[in-house]
Amino acid sequence: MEEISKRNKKYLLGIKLVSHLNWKLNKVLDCFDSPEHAWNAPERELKQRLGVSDEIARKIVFTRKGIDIEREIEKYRSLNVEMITTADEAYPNLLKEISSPPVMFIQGELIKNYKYAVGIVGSRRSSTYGRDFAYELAKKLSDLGITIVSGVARGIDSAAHTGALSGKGGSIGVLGCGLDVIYPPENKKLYLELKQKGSLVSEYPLGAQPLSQNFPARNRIISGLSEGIVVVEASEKSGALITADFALEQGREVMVVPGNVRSSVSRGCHKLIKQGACLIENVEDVIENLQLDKKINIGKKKAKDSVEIELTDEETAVMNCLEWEPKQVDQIIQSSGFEMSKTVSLLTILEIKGFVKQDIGKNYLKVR
Amino acid sequence: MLAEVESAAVVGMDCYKVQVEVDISQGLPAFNIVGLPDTAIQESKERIRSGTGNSEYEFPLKRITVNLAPADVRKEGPSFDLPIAVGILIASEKLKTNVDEYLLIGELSLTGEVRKVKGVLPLTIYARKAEKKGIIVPYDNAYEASLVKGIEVIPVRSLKETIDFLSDSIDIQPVSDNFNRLLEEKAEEEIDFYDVKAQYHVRRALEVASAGGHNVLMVGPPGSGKTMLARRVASILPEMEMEEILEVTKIYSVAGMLSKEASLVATRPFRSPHHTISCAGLVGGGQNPRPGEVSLSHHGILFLDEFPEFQKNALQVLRQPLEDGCVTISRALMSLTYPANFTLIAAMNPCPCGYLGDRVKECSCTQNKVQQYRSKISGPLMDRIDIHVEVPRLTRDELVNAEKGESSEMIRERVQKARNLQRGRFNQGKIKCNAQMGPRQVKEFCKLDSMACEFLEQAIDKLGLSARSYDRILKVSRTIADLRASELINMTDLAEAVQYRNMDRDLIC
Repeated sequence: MEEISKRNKKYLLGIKLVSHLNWKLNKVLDCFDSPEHAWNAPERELKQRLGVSDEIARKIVFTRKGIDIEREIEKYRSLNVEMITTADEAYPNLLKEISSPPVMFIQGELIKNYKYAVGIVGSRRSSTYGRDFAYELAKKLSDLGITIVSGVARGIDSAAHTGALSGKGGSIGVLGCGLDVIYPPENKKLYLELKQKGSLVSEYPLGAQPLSQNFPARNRIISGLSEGIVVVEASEKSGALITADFALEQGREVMVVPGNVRSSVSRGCHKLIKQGACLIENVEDVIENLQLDKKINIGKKKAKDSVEIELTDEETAVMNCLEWEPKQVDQIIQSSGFEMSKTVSLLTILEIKGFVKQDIGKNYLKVR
Repeated sequence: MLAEVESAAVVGMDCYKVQVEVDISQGLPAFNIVGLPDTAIQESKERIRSGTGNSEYEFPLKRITVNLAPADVRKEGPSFDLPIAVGILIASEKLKTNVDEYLLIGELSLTGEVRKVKGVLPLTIYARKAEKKGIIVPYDNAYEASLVKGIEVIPVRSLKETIDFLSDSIDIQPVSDNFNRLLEEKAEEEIDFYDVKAQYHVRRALEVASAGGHNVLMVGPPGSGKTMLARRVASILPEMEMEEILEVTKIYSVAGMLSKEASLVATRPFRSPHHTISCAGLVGGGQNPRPGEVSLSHHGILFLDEFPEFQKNALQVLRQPLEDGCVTISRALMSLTYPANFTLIAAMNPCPCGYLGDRVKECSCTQNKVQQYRSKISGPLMDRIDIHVEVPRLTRDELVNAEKGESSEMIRERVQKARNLQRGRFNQGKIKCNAQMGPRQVKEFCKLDSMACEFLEQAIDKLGLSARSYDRILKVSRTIADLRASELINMTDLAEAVQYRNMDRDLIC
């Protein structure tokens, strides 16, 4: 039995590497008895069974000839990339429920044994508020042992991963490119951490470039792996809305974090709320919506929250001048009544203590 | 007969002696100039011929040979017209006198008038060093020459006047030292920080920058007043010292940028070249290298608006002058060094469209574009800029309601005090202000107690600052402490200095 699955995997990898076969992967698996059969099929049989044109059949045969499967397997092994199929035990059960990819490439162990996962998605163009909230939410959920799934993109995704990795639930990153292609490039460190402490997942073979058509497909895996998804910030055309659509199709809960009604980066979120998505204000809302409170132990959390950092009187005075919305430094200086240099110093100290965040354009907002 | 007249030429900021030898012999009429003259000197033959004729002297119809010694150095420019003309008149025995005591410079016009030339100030300094009794200069250059004490500056309007003076038939009063008068006459500064509304933290940043001589990068959307603020920085820098005034005036003299009305550069220069400027325009260049914008802003301010739009090469060539305070230009024939000790104030938009972080208008750039735009300024160049400050755009309400700010005079007083402290600290050596400290001085003068040390480490760690900001923060906090007249750097100083490193932080994504 194991022997068969091993042989199957070998030829599956081969098929994944031939783009014309990969595009019709489900059909290929349906039309042939086994991957081995498909791999070794002569041109005429390919044409018959798959119903492709002469030219494409010829192309398939030509590309196939150029691939040395044994060498490819060696390459995947050296990079610690594992290939899992729906037949494998390691293949996440939740994902089997949906129109799941037959083959996935994975790095890291978390994907095989995570219990409950929540997807946190959002815009690449995001506000400080959105990134900060995504980070907090991911961290708190992760502290409760919930794994956070996201797409390793800029903005909200990165914030969610970073937050989740600092807790015990860990994080799974779903890529729209090969596992060895780092995109966006500034996320190199995040890739490494995900590999070590969480998992990286992709349905694309090594070396696949981050093409724009890959990303919507990736989003179905994000929602597929999770119990529900939280959209933190999404503009009207954001890819996060595609994820929300997939989630609804797959019967997953869609939860939305509201933003400022004037801000364009929250417009998509508000649209989802209008359509009936759950509004999320804090981590308890997420737990309640997914009915996770019965499944996991959330008793310990209270003790952890009680660690309070004390502020001096001066720091409190500056805090009182701040709002949840970004405020110009000059306005803060004026309303605080302190000297200019004093106010600015206090803002730095508050930022280090984690009470305040600086936004571009010398604006400050409170985050606690 | 043979005649010798002494003149001199400027190479870079230095001068060398040029002996003008004129020989008139029998033969077919001819006029030859040897000694590696450039085209301007070759053409001086015609000016001299007409100028002499129109000054009521007869131009000798003989074989005239002029040699400019040393013969192996290339000479350029029209400033030898006057000495050659005088030499010819001596050699043809129209003028029977000795001109050894004087150094002659000046360009002739066809009417015989003497026109102004470049570099008269360094030439006069050279003449004094060569222990001449006096220097004969064009009338229009007399003011800059008169800045030099201990030498007679004889202003002449025409060739005739020169000859009359040399043959003692008229007396020309030497222009006397008018240094102090010029200083007093110095035009009242029209621009003042008083005009700037609100922008409190930008004003403070610029005050800190002026107090420590730090370079500044201003980031802000269009219309936020970056240029207006930069122009006012010169008005809060400490007053120029005598030595500095002479040095800067010398550069302007070499560049030919002094006029009778403004013969002394007594206010700090403010140069603002357009971003299409070439490398040569910026650091100096040409076959016979002239000073560039970096040297023209010596002891003053070089303001580069639209910083990332400058040619990449042009920005790279800024690195040496920013580091060394001078710029060395090498050409096939010579290698020159011009001083270039300036404060750089650069201004840029936060992103290509200009509105990233603006409160009213939304930015339309992708993150890639923003990063591309910012990466045009290389790391090494960014390293030489100590203070980053974001300049927000004010709303109309804020503009109307804001009170007027402090005047430049008040700010300058504080800046001067801080500078005096620094002067005392680095009492010998080349270092004059905190910005010029090297790693050794930073270690010596920017000591932190253990609490401050821990704070700084935390700041770098938590705020995502790069490691290279460490030294910059220390230097700037040293200046902030100086503004409080304190020897000790405390946590507040550090916390404020951290605020000026925003471009090191990843605030865009």
